[in-house]
Amino acid sequence: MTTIKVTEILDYYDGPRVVLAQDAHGRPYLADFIAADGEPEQYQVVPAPDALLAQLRIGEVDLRSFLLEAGANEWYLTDPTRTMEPELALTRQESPIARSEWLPPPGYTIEDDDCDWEAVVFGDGTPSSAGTAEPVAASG
Amino acid sequence: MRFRDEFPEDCPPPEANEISEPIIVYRLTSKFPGTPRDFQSRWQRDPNPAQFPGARECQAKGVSVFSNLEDAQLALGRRSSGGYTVGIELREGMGVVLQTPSGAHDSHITWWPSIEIDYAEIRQRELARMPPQRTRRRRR
Repeated sequence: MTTIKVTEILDYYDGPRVVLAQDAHGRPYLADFIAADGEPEQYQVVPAPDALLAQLRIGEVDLRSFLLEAGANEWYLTDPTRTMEPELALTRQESPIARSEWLPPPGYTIEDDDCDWEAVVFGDGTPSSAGTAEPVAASG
Repeated sequence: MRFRDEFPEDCPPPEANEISEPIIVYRLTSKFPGTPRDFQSRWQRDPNPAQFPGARECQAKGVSVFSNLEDAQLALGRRSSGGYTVGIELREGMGVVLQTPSGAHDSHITWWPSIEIDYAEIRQRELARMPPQRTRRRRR
């Protein structure tokens, strides 16, 4: 079974959502987090050719197009593990990735021009882009 | 400041800012109003390192929010489980934040909630909702 090791996180929300990884031979892959109700969380994984990856990184190709093109001939699901191992084990899928129910919507792009942690400065305390969302309700 | 989790050394990072003035951020929740569980880190909900391939423990123990509503909407559009985008008001004493841009989400912020938070008092406003997407059994 092929295993891959994560080398870079491209998209993060409460955990890595889109990551780059390599197998033991240095072949690059892209893994896209998927979750379905009642099932283990895992990733759908496709090879990541350099040219296509470069287009993804600058937003010329969206994630859906990347997965469809890069996964046209082979794609995988990860076998969830509950270990400390940082590697993901891949299970090859026989059906076309175009029939995957987890493809992201068109237009979801990833531009990783700035992924460093930065100190946030809030100025007057409210991000300018947040002006339309004054909270009005308290939960509970 | 005291936190809900035990954090590794230098976590939150020294460049993170203690929340000293009200700020509006956006969070994806399963319900509206969001429940305390909606405001927990994914690590708190399920402390399984396998869910965070390539991520640092400190980031895994933080809560993802956005300062930009559009980024939150994009992230919501990718959730097969559906849910809500809510605006929430973070106030003094609620924890520490750091801007952590991530791929598709330049406005991604990591929030490390303080132990003093009363989740029932978080002011919330519903901004969008999305029904769950239909999912089929996973093919192997």
